[in-house]
Amino acid sequence: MKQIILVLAMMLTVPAAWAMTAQDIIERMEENQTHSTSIMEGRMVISDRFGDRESTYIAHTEGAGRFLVEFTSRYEEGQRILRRDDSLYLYYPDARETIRLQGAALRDSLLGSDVSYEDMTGGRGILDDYDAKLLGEESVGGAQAYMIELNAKTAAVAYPKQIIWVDAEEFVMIKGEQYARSGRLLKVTEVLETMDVDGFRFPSRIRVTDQTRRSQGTLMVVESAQIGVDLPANIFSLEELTW
Amino acid sequence: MKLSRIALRNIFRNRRRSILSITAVTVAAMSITLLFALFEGIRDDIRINAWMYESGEVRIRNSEFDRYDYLNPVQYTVEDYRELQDALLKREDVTMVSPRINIASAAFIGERQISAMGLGVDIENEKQFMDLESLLTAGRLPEPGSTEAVLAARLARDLGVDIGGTATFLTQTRRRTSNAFTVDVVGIVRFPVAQLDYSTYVLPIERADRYLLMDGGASEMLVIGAAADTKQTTELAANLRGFLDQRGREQLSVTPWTEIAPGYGYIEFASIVYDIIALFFFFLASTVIINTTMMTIHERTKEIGTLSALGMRGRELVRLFFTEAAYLGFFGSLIGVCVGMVIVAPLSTFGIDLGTSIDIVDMGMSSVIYPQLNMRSTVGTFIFSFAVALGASYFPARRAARLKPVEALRG
Amino acid sequence: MKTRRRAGRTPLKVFLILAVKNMARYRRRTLITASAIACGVAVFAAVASVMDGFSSESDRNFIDYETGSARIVAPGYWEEREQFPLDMVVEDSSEVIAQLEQEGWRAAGRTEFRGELVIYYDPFPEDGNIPMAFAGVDPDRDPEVFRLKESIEEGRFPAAGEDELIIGRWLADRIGAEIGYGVTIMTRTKDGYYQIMDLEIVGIFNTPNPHVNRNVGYLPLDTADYYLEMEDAVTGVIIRGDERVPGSLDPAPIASLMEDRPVRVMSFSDMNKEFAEIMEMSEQITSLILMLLAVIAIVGISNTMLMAVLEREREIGMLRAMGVRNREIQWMFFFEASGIGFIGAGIGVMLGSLLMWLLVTYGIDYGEMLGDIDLGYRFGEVLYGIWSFSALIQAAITAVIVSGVVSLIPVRRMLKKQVTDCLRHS
Repeated sequence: MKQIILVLAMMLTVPAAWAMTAQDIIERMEENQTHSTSIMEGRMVISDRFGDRESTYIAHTEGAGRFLVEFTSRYEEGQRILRRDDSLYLYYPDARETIRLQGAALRDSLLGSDVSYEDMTGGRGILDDYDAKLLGEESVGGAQAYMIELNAKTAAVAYPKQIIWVDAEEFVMIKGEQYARSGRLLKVTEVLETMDVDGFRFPSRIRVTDQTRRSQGTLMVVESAQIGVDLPANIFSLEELTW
Repeated sequence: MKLSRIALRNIFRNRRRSILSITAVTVAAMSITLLFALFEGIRDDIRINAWMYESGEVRIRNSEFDRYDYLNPVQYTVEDYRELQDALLKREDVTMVSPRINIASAAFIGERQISAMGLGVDIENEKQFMDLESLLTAGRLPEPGSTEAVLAARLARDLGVDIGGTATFLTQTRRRTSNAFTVDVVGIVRFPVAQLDYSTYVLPIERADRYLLMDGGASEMLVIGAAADTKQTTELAANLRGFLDQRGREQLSVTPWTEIAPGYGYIEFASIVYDIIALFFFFLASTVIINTTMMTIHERTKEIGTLSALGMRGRELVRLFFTEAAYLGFFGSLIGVCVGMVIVAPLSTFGIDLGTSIDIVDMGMSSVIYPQLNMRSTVGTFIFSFAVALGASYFPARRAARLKPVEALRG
Repeated sequence: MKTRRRAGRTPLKVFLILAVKNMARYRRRTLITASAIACGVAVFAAVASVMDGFSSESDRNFIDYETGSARIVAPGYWEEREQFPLDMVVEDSSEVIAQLEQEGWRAAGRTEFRGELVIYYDPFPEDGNIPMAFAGVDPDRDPEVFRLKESIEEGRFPAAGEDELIIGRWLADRIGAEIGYGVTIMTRTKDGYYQIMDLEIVGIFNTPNPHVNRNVGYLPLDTADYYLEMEDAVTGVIIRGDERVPGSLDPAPIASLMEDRPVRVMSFSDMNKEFAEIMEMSEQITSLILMLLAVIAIVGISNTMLMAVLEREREIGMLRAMGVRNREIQWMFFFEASGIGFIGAGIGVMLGSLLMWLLVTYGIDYGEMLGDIDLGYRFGEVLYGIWSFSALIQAAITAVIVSGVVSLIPVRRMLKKQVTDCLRHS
């Protein structure tokens, strides 16, 4: 009986899966990750040769384009990062003006971590910037996953090529590799845990390791998330950034 | 009559000739005094700049910072700098201490990212240590503890701000988090040292401490010894090493400026070039003295004839001329060095303005040089000029003395 | 009255001859005075040569290691060069260089960019990443333009097409690098993509510029072109001319050659505008020193000259007693003094040229004097002079004029005296 179900399940899922294009998979994944609005509490642990350090934050998002992080950890309390479409603004309580990052500066490391400002705050949809190609399926850490190669369409993105592994059942990214132009591996993103909130499944524990630096990596953990909550009006406005 | 009396009388009798001889020695001695004073001024200037702005006479840092300094590991600090500062100032061999917080930072202007180096200092203390007030080209110094800052002229230009404006810098804190802060620009400064002049801004250390979460730690402490003498630097460094160990601060490193400041190498190099130039000066000065003496003796050939006809012996003649030359040389050298000193005295206070608006930043040299007198430029020059004058007169005198009276009279 | 005076006037030529005769007669005096002048001229010129050599040494180092004689860049690049923009470039560099070479210029392209040098524990003593500048250099052409290749202390220059890097001695010592070690450069391509290059350290250089020794690494230009996706664009084409005095190359012919291209041709002084005032200041110091030297030389010359004239008070008295006119006596002495000045200056020029030749050819080796001190600056261990004909000529002319003029002062004073007083003088 059990076997029959298994076979049936395979018959049902596999052809369905093969029918999916890379675009479909990414769209499904982004649906999972993109929320009308959300509030997440999380922390980030950066490890380097001088030891570990932890920052905690509350992140607010609206769709794919708007993102506000406010740090709550002791040494960073009150610092904010706002992403509005293509601009990134940094707010520090000690500074009277916000810092606007543009162009190359967006690719600088966030707080000395393995993650760039751009990585952290996301941005436009993957399919706007990349051509996706389904390379096949393989098992990653016991889960079946689609392996998709992404090649940059424009020079507006930092990584010319990425390969991502998307869980075939949950449509959540479980691994990612970012490559340099020369084809050398630049960063590895491992999804260690995922989280399900109101039917949305997204990574909740991620480790990013910069391969060139041989670092111990940066750990990003989502502790709690609320989706579809009402956010204060104008939370993503520049005026509100500096309250 | 004693020879020296005759010599003196000869000098006074032929005043015009004596004045000429003395002038030659005087001018030579004076020029060399001035030259050495100028060189000493340049050397001193470079040294002082290095001490005041870059390295102190010795620099105290966290040794781990030294090890990783290319990574700017701000977390390695000199803990509780105030306590250490007070303790250091109590020492007899220390006159000035300057705690500093170095802030490697960046400002963002449009798409451009401009690197800037913040210097958190005790403003009151730096009025002495680096004569902060004299660096101001416009505006005023920041009030201690305030959010005010002064910017190096070039940085202000790059950032497009002036007095009354603000500038915001992004940096890394001691906790290795990032932080940004805004300063009110209240003044523009010019540093005579390359690294500082391009991108430095100076703000009160209390604020820097807060912004960088330094918790009473400083990036480094610059110390100037009581001797303020380069030769004592090694000793001072060794003493401070022992002092720090005694206080349980073994983690701090003590580095003498000779190992840090690029200006030091330049001083060493310049000293050599100056010595070479001085050599030329000595050579020319010698020929002037020799020529003048030779001329004097040549002119007096007839007199020599008369004297020897009167029975003065060769050796006595040589001694007579030699004594005369000694007097002339002595007074010439003395007057020369004195005149040189008189010229240098006001210059060492007011300086020689080399007339450029910027400094030789590369070498850490200022645009106003204050000539300095030292043993070499005064006593050394005196001895040299005197010796040359004596030496120059000996051979022509001997030659003249060897002349047969008849020949000499005919000349 | 008028006619008599005219009849009695002796032609100047006579005094000229008299002056020459006098010089020959009082050979010893002439010799002493002339030697004073010669020494003044020669030493002055030699010092000027050394000082000029000193300042041109740093100019030459600039040219040899940093700026070249002239440079072609994209408009606006120079002002932004500290940001290392890769979007302001000279396109079609091979074509540009070929065009320059056809006209006989030596030229090489360089692509300067910013990146992080990443090193790993084993073989390096520890992991690390150092933000620094890099430059792609043409292994064949660059040595024609810059002296970087000569400054290699260990290993060799990177070879075309290879993934190789050379770094400065200071940096190598600091990070514990040795030949054969692998390093990684992390940077961005021209378009802004992340890029990683794995390179092998094949050489360690030590230029006279500490900044370069600390902060710049060099790799083959074609390798940089490939990784940065420059497509034959470079950030600068550097040109080397044959100008004698460093920094004096006229960029006009290059500019006209590049007329049709959207580029800017920069001369040495354009590139060193920021240093122009520094140079002005070291010139100030030079002229201060030369002024002091001139004072000694002039006093030396006038002293001997004064004495030579004073000695001849009786002679002047006699000439006057014989009815020679004051003006004529003045002329006679002026000619004589100028003559001695001329002889002295002539010897001085010869002596000075010899000294200069020695200074230019052999220089002053002060390596010995230095001992263990590492200068680490823009200077070698030998200080060379440079040919400074203007200093020679200026010194010579000054010497002649000073001699002539100085001689007139005592003569005029003596002419004001009573003839008998002059004669009494012994």
